[in-house]
This record gives sequence, C-alpha cells and structure tokens, in this order.
Amino acid sequence: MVGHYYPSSLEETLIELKKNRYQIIAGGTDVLVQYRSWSETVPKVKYPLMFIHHLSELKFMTENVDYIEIGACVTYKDLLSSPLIPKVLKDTIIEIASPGIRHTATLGGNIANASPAADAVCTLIALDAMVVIKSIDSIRTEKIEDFITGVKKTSLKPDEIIYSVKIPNVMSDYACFYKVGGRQADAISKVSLAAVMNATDGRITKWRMAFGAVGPKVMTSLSIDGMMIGKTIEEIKITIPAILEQYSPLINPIDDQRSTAKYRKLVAMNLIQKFIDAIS
Amino acid sequence: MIIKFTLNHQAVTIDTDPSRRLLDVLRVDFNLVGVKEGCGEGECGACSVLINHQVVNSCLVPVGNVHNKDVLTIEGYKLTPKYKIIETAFVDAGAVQCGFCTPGMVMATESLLYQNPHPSDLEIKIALSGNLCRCTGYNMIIEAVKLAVERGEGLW
Ligand SMILES: Cc1cc2nc3c(=O)[nH]c(=O)nc-3n(C[C@H](O)[C@H](O)[C@H](O)COP(=O)(O)OP(=O)(O)OC[C@H]3O[C@@H](n4cnc5c(N)ncnc54)[C@H](O)[C@@H]3O)c2cc1C
Ligand code: FES
Ligand code: FES
Repeated sequence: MVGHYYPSSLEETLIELKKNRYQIIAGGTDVLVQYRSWSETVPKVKYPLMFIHHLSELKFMTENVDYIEIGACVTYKDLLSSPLIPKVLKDTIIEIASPGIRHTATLGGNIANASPAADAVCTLIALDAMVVIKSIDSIRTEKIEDFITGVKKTSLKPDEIIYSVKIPNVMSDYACFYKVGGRQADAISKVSLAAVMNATDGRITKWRMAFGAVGPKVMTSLSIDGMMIGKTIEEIKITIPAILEQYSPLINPIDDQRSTAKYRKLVAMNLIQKFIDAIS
Repeated sequence: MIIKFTLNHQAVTIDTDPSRRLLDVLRVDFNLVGVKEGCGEGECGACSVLINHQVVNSCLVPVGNVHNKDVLTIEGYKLTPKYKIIETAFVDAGAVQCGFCTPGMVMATESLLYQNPHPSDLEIKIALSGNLCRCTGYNMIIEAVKLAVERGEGLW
C-alpha cells in the first residue's frame, strides 16, 4: 500500500489523487472520530490519508458582484472573523461543536462528510450555495443539494477534491438558522432548519428552507419552496397549517440514539412556524 | 513522515506516522502527560492544547497537521507569568477538585484571553463550552477566569 501523503501544492495533490486512491483529511474532526481505534494506535483508515489542511490554495475568501467564494480548507474560526461571511452562516457556525473544533474544522469537511445533520450544509443550501470540484483535468460546479446524494454519500470521484464553495452575493430580508440539540456546545443537531426569505412590497420573491437530521441528507425542495413565491406575507401567516402540510412529505426522520422520529417531526414543524412568526 | 514543529517554545523534529493523534505523540513520544485523554472524540476538552495560540482538541488532530506549526501544552505554558495568574485564580476560586479537566480548562482560558483580554460572562462560557468538568459545577471555573482577567490586567 502507498503511504500517507503530505503534498506541497494543490496541483501535486490532484496529480497524486489521479494515480492512487486516498482518504482526504482536512481538519480531521470527522475522519478521526469515524476511524477511531484504541488509544495510542493509528486510526483504522481504509485508504492512506491525503493531508490538505495546510494548502494555502484552499484557504482563500473572496467576493465579487456575483459570489462570495470560500476555499474548502477555511476553518470555522476564520469564517467567524471575516467580514465577507453572511450573518446567517456565522450564526450557524457559532452553534457548531466548540471552540477547539471550530479552530481546525473546515467548511469543505462539513460538506464532503455529507451528514444529514450537518449544520453548515443546511444554511449553505438555503443560501443556494454551490461547490466547485476539481481534479487534475476537470473542474465542475454543482449545487450542494445535488452534490450530496445520501447518508455520507456525494458525487465526488476518487480523483476529485472540493476546491471551494460559492455563495450568491445577494442580500436576504430574513435568514435564520434554528438548531435543536441535547447540549448547547458539542451537540449534533436533533433537528435544524435554515430558512431564507425575500419580499418586495409584502409579496414573497424568494423562499428557501433546508432541514437537518430529518432524512438521509439535508432535505430541501425547490418545488415546495416555490409554492410560497408570489404569496403575501399575510397569506403565509394565515395559512400556516396548509404550509406545514405541504412540507410534511419532506420531513421523514428516524429514531436513533439522539432522538425519536416523532419528536423530530414535531420540532421540524414547530421550527417552520417559528420562522413564519418571525417574518413581517 | 518528517514532521517539524515548535513544541513548548523549542523546535522539534520527529519521524512518525502523520495519522497518529497529536494527543498520543505528546503523551507517548514527549511524555507530556498533562495532556489528558477523556473521551477521545472531541467532546470533553481534557486533551486541549494550543496550536498557533488557538485551543484545539489534540485527540482530533492528526500529527501531520502540526507540521510547521507552534504547539503549546500545559507543561510549556506553566513557565509563563500568565500561567501563574491563572493558576492562583483557579486555586483561589476553588475551581480545581480532582484536576483532570484543569490543564484543558487552563489552555482554553489562555486561548480566550489571548484573543479577547476582557471577555463577558457569555464569552467565557462559550470559550469553555468544549471543556467538561465532572467535579466543580462550572461556576467556580467561570469565577476563576474572571479573577484571572482582573489580576492579569495588562498582561494579555
Ligand atoms: C465533538 C464534535 C462536535 C461536532 N459538532 C458538530 C455540529 O454541531 N455541527 C456539525 O455540522 N458538525 C459537527 N461536527 C462534525 C465536524 O466537526 C464538521 O463536520 C467539520 O466541519 C468537519 O471538517 P474537518 O475539516 O474536520 O473534516 P475532516 O474530518 O478532515 O473530513 C471530513 C470528510 O470530508 C472529506 N473532505 C474534507 N475536506 C475535503 C475536500 N476539500 N474535498 C473533498 N473531501 C474532503 C474527508 O475525506 C472526510 O470524508 C462535530 C464533530 C465533533 C467531533
Ligand atoms: S479526549 Fe479529546 S476532547 Fe475528550
Ligand atoms: S476538577 Fe475534576 S473534572 Fe474538573
């Protein structure tokens, strides 16, 4: 077996990924838990590790009129201290894990890990963000909700890497992230909701919702969201039961060690209502 | 892999498997046993150390990631005047009982005060939110940090 690899550039990484199969490791806060073994032994990884956390090419944050672009290896800590990052994404990040993890964990890791409870993923989907994916001979862009295909599954091929995340550079009238967990810090979401709304003259022009931990991946539906567009905020507020009914098929949680399906469904519905109560 | 980093103010070079946990390297290779293993999965903070002056959970850091970085453990921090302030504040506030969480609490406190010398109560709680203590009940620890802020005025 080839050994772990510590590349000195992105190009070298991509060339090597083309030649051999690796497990990418960024901050390692998911990888080291997932492949954890006994104390004082190395993690039991299936493939040798490709270290990317130090690559400066993956640590940029830029803004143009269309997008805010964030390199895959930017840490939560750096996102929290950047003026470019939308408030709702910062509100989300401050609810992720604890300072020690936020100092090393990356946005790219949260997306590639494809947990149905991934908090940043919820908010990025509600913001219509996209991932930029590179291999040595290709570059492609995909919406995050399409990139993530199931529990811990993505469309990433073995020779590819997440290069960056692009968030449309538009203002939101309302953008909220609600998370329900067992403890305030270090708690994986039992249920979460990221919601974004814009309105002109009281009429909805944009409506996006993404739910965490209620299905095999972060759940979202452009067609259900689309039904809200063109309604007035008043109409939304007086038809809450109908709206909950419309979202209901999207929310199919399971029982697990963190919570029950019944509780999760009820809370998800309450979070939709909470958002509707908040808008005006 | 050859890994070079600064450990407790000294340049060190090791040749080891980069997938090993920083926690194990510190305890086994360098005998820095002030770094504790509690949960081994990022939830208790007993293994907290500083990398480039930011607190991290060393049980979740592959040692490859500290190449060219600066690592500080409680053993290195102990030699500084700031540590003395925190130590006496913890003792005076009754913030230490069994002491298992204490090195981690102290490192998280240094990470906070380095970034923010005058934290609010909420900021202290957030800064220590990744560190569990089974003995004291947290209020004394928060008091200890406040005491250190007061006594260390100008140091951070
Ligand atoms: C105690 C604890 C609490 C946590 N709390 C939360 C929480 O509240 N909310 C939450 O959402 N998450 C939480 N997490 C999960 C984790 O911290 C995040 O998902 C984090 O963002 C992962 O980033 P990382 O850089 O550490 O990823 P890594 O562990 O390095 O990688 C994770 C996965 O992504 C892949 N990967 C990483 N970067 C790339 C890339 N650029 N291209 C392709 N693949 C890549 C890796 O191969 C791996 O499969 C928690 C974890 C712990 C241990
Ligand atoms: S041992 Fe690292 S956080 Fe518990
Ligand atoms: S003093 Fe015992 S765990 Fe904190």
